[in-house]
Amino acid sequence: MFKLIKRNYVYNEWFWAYVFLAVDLAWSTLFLFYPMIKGVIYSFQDIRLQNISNPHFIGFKNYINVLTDPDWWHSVKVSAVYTLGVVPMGIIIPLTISLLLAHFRRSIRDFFKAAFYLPGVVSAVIMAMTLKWIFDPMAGFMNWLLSLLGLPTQLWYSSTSEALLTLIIMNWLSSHGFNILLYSAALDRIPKSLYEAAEIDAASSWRRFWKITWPLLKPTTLYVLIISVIGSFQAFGGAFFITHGGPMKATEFLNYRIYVTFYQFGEYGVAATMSVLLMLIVIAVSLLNFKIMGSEVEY
Amino acid sequence: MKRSLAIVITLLLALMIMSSALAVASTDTITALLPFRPNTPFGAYLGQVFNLFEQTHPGVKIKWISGGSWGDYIKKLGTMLGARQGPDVAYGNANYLFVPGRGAGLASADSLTIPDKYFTKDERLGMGAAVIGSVSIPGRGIVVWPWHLYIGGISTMIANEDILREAGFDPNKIRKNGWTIKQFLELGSKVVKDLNGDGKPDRWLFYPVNSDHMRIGIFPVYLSKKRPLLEQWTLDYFFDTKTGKLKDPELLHRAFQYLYDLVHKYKYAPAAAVSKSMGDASDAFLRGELAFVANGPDYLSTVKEHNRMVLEGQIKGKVIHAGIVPMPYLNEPGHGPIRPGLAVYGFYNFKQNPYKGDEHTKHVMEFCDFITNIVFQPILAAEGFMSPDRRLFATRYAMAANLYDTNDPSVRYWLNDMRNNALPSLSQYACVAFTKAFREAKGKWFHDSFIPALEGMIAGKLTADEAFNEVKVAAEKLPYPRVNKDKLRDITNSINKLIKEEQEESKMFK
Repeated sequence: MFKLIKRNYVYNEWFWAYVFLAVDLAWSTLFLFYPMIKGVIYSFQDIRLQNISNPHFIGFKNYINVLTDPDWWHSVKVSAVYTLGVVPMGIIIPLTISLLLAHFRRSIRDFFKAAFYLPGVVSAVIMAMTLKWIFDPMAGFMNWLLSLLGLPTQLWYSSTSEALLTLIIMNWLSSHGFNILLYSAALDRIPKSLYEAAEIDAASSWRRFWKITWPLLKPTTLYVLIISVIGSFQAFGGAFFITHGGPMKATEFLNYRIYVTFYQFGEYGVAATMSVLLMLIVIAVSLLNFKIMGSEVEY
Repeated sequence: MKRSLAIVITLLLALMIMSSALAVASTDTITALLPFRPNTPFGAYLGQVFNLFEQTHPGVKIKWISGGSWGDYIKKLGTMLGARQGPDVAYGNANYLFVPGRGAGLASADSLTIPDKYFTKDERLGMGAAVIGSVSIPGRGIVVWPWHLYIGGISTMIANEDILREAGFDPNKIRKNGWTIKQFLELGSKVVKDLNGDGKPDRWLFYPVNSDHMRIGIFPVYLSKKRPLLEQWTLDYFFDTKTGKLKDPELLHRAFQYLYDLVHKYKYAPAAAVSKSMGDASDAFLRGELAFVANGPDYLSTVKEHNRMVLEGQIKGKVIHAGIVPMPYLNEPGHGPIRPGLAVYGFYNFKQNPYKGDEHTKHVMEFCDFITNIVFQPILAAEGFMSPDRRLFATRYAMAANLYDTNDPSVRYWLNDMRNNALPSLSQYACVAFTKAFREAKGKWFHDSFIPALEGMIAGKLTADEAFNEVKVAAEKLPYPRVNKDKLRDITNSINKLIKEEQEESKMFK
């Protein structure tokens, strides 16, 4: 009997592949797909804290309400501006640092890579609190620095016009470790022979970058671009820990709006609708990135 | 032999699993979501009470879920309720549970009744009007066991009495006589100073943050107007309970201008603090940088803890003498001192419908009775496990103001004042007189229009006129009908009845 099982299944790669996939699939179904489907169902229901025992189907009413709500579009604008501010620098800064690090020997490179990645393992709360202190308009490090240089101090996150920019600057200063690792790994994979050949052809370093490095980094750049866009559209921590969406809703990101709708207003159906719309926005922007960048990617 | 051994082992395993399952099945677990932390002295005390309950009720276990900070606790409760995983027992005040826009808002309650089923008429009379916070919602299975009374933080300010005395103001006189906005501004001119000589003020009257801008900035003008009791003590400050319209718009406009002037004209509160949190304000107060914070009286415990740590050398800083003072009021005809609000805090049973005979519900009911039993109240007071304001105990047997010894004269003043004069908040009753659609819309109005307008004004982006207009226009757009007239009539009748009961009861204590 055992021999039969052994003959038919034990050495059958497909069988074991399905077994292992089934574990992952079950996990994903339970913790990813089920909540996602439930969220989509909620988005078509009138479900809120006050009627949780009696939710009912209301068709597209939640969608109509959200899409005609000026506050929703304000949050879309805030998130879009934040994304535009954060994503390009999320590529330029890590790429520049990775290119600079490439000139050093391996041990120094590894040290700096670890140093840049370190903020990523620090608790988001600690990170936010540290940045909050640095940009504190009354007693922060940045204003102290500006005073030292004889420059006017700023209100930073206490200003309706500067708050979003401050959160963007905070992002520039604090969240590039992972992208540096990706770019460094991608740079390591580019064959040295290509640069040697270019050198023989007397190509300038600028030309070598544009003709060799950049095209071969495009798969990584596409990946970085997409995860950065997704991440910045889902930005939440800065608004939650530092600005509370203010002042005057200047930093009310989409995710923060969803949070407020869910927890403060107790409108689960509307919050679910916003989540679905956010998901559609992220998918649409990601597809656009694929469309624009994907055709030029050389794998 | 091997086969027999396998059978025996299998049977033993099955027996073990079955006995474990039976043991689990025979243990009834009550989940209690509480904002107290088990690792604090008070938490440890409650833990002992819970252990005592478990010992006297074999087979019943208490699963204590700690909610963290009050804000986190309210969010956690809301989330649990939203996920239909509400705890058996939660602690709180009806305002938090019924006000729309709060995490655990249950504003759709169609009617609220005092649970006669669990309290005799005599007991209810003993509880007096304070029992107004003790409600159950028919069909929803929410029953409350009142535990203690709490001075509404909305009408109290915590003052750094050292700063007040330095400026020539006697906090005891302020408590005794009240004080006007004019006096408050005079204090500001003496308090706001550049102490380190860098040319910028580093001591302020208050931070215009979170709710402090409301309590110290807007309410002194807006709430000092004398109004009928029903209007005075409804939690909804801004909308008329009878019409649903914005209450006294001209006065609200003046309140906006007052806050604007405090920040931009007099510069007694820093505009740059607009994005700071209540925690930041609390820290600044402990550093001696603020003369006032608007907080609940239990903040005095935080100050005491700060002082203890300073005296023991655990932290650097100065000992701060803090106390509650009333809010200043507008010294004009028709205005007067703002009376303290009073809320009933207790244990709410969420999950179960009123006892119908099942064992779990019975255990939950017994547990709530046990922890709110009057036997524990003097122990709590004597051991100092409750902050001073909580020593005005409200139990199902004695809701009237039994004033225990308190060490803090400011608290004693307030407690006496309340015992003689104040009525508890009527908020949840007035709240449910508004239509459901209006309640939901005004919750959003507050978040999406009122607070952003205030923040814009404090940050200097809007003038007081512009901010007020934004708020007014947004309020006018809220949906009609706003008031459920039938419900309002019932509510008004029941409130009047309770007020009479309170008056009768208060005679007993004079």
